[in-house]
Amino acid sequence: MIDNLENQIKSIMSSVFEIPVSKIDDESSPDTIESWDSLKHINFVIALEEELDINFSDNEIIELINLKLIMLVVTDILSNKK
Amino acid sequence: MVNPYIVGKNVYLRHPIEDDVYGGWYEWFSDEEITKYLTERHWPNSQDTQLDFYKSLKDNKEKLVLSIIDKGNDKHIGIISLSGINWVHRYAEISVVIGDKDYNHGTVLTESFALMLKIAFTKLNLLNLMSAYAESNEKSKVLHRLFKFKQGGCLKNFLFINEKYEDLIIEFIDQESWIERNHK
Repeated sequence: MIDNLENQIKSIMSSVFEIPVSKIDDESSPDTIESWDSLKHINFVIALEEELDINFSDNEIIELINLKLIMLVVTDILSNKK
Repeated sequence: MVNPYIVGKNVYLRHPIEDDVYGGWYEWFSDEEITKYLTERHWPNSQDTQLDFYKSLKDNKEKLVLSIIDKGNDKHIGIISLSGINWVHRYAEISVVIGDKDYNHGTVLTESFALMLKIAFTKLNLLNLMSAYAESNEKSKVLHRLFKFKQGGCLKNFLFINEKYEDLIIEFIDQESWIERNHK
């Protein structure tokens, strides 16, 4: 399930940041992805909410700065949803 | 960190200091690209004007202006404010400018905005925040959508941008909705 989730998030990142999935890893962040500007970051967070049917709190939005942290936050939200 | 008022992941917000005036702050408000969607964009800014503005903030309880600072290097990179604070009806208008263009990359804008919402609703106990932006300002549009602002109105052909008139979109967020979303 975690693998599916990670693949889903990578797919969203790939679509928003217009980069191949193969270029995305745990450390992917604005420091490693050139196209990760503030507008695309907002679009990315909105796409995560819509496609995963979740809502981030403001504190969670602040945490979303690389794939590893995004996975942690999203997994936590989804496990609390059950 | 120097005199932080609220601390985030990558940035913190603090009261402006006079040194900010002698940095890039005043130039941001002359920059065509940065000021494209600001309502006060038609007069060039100067260091003297910025200094007057800075001095006007002292003891001003109707406006909270905070400098956005990079936690890693203490660099002043932008300004965020609550203006027109009304202590009877408890509302204000929120606005943000990321002046240092290097920081248009990444998460600084959303982080700063989230920190200021927290200040407004938990420290100042405001009940409503308003915000207004030009219809063609895509970044503002999605920023307000992300933080669940609701549309409050639209002033038709209100702004003159790029030689044409366009609508001013007015949005708001109330304290109750913010608390519900942030204390789940």
